[in-house]
Amino acid sequence: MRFGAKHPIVKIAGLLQGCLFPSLSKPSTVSMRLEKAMLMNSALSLFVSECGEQMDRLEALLLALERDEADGQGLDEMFRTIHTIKGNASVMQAAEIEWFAHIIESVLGRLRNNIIRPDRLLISTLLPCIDHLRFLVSLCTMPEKASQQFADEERARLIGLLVPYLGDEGDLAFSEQPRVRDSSSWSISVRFAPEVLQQGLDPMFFFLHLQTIGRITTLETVMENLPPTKDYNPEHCYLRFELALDTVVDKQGIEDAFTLVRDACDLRITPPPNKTHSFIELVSSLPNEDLHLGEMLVRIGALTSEELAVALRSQRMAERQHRTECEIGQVLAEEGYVEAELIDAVLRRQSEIRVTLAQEHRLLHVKGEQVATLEDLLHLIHHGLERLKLESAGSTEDSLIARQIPALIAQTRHALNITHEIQRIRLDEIFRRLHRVLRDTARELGKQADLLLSGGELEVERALGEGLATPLIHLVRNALDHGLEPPTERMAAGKNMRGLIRLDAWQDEHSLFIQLADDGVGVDRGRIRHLALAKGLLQPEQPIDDERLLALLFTPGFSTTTQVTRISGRGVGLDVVKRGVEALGGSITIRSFPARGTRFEIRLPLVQQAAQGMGASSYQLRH
Amino acid sequence: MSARRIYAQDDLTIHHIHDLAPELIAAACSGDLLHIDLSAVERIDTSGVQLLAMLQREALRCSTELVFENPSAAVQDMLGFYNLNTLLRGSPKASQGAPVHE
Repeated sequence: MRFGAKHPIVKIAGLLQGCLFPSLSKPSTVSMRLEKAMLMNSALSLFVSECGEQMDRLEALLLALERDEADGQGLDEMFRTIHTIKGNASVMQAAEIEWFAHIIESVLGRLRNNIIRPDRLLISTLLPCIDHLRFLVSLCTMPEKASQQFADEERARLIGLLVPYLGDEGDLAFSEQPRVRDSSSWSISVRFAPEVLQQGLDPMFFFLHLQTIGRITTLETVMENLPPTKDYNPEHCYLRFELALDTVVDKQGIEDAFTLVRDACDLRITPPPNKTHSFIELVSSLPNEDLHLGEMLVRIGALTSEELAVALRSQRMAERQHRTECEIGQVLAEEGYVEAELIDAVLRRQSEIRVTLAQEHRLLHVKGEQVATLEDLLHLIHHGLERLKLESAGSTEDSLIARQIPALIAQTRHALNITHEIQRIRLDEIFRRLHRVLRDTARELGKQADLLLSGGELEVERALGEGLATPLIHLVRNALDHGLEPPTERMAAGKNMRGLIRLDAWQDEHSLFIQLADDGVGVDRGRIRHLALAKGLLQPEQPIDDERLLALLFTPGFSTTTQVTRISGRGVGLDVVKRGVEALGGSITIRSFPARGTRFEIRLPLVQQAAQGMGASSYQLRH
Repeated sequence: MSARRIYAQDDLTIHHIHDLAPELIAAACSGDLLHIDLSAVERIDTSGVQLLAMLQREALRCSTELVFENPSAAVQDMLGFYNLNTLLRGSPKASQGAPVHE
């Protein structure tokens, strides 16, 4: 969709141009001026922070593309991400960012439509473009540090590099829309927070943004919330809007148009009536992964991550209020996020997947044992062939068998290598799951965190690797829930608002070491002592050293949190971690430093008789 | 009944709405015949649209006959986008065609 200069949308955009951030010279009083400037600054901060997250995502997707891991969905997401950056820049009247994002969007549009290939050179060109966007965004908050000359030169250099990928104007991404699925209307109901107008976030801009991803067929302005005159603040927004949007983008794509105002609006996006049926069809194509109901709905595009986070909060509140468990499916249906019919379909699919996974698990288990038996057999054959080779070396007899022995030995060795490979796993494969755990848990808790991993290149016996998965997931969740402070607390404490969780794996000749450390608040020793006294684990005045005191956290049913959440606080978690590690023949210790964080250290023997029931004979590492 | 005509200034946006609103709302509550000339409005945003809606409601509440006159292209485009062209009819009494006294 491309609007000509006479298109009403362009005219309205033109009328609004300059309305939002003109000189603040005319407000009535100095205090009003300051208040307005502060509100606009908060919108700007939000824009900068949102852009930062979106550019991080874009960079990760480009890197995945370079590693040849991106699929059509990844390309769609890249396109959508840059489109959101562009739309947000338009809302903030950041013309240079909008323009540069538009150029990148054009290239990504051609990439997604297979007009150009994602070669290494293109990715090496796009990555510095993202850096340049970061630079432009950073200038929003500190324009005094801007070097216009640098910006101009860098822009000219990058555009020069992008030219071969841009093609004709007609190919530009403005005129391209995501692939067609159906053209029925989505219903959007949005009520903005009163202060959005003062923040410079005029609702009109979000609707203009929607016009770039589809066609608004109806727009009803509902004025039922206009207050009595005495309560009316002309700078507040009291309007609610009901829209119908014809678009081919998914629910997340629509929600992305409201990114800058997501926390300052009540947004309901309802799919077209025929969409529920399409979602139900999609459910059957979900891969056999053990996912929660909400995750499955997000995967098929029927629910956005933000909606899921809001619904999970509602679920927790309902559980606290009624002191009984409340199904998330029920919350999603009652609050109108998803049709009950679709939830039933997802629950049926979830049940099918779990049955399939259980079967696969049994099959894998048998296969593992069979492979071990085969490996033993191959070892025997290999030794036998080596002996035959030695014996035949002294013989003058030129038999067919003797001539075949070297080839048979080589083939046996090859088969042994294959059986060995089958039984091993890279730690990467386990660690990869933790990114999702981190992301989802952090979102649910309203925290921000990064996960730094090292040692993923190490290979371990599959049974050991898979046995580590559950303890590590618990530790990451525990670090987020108990270790890292909320962003505001971290900032008040002079820390980066994003917490850091480091997971490092390394080995020496005897052991595999895994260390998970956070830079959070540290363990409250006073609270451990208090709880230990209450539970009779410690006597008053009983001396206890720090190591033993902290080790009490591994006691079943012991939780220092004051609130029970879905993540933790029911006293299960660290005891499960300890049991899991010990089942692998290892040990775990905890160290904690007030206001600096907590560190869990896991040691696993490299050659270790398997704990009972593990079904493997030894754990050995290999690079 | 006396009549009054107010000429709206060129900027009906968030930056001036706080200063403009009290006088217009007071006029809409006067119970008189009120003409608001919108021909000079070059810039209008959502706060401006909302103010027009408030004026119409208050006029209705106070039995003021309100007529929005000569809407500029900016006003027409904005109200058209929000599907609020009916606002230009003013309050129902005004639509009956009451005489204007300058």
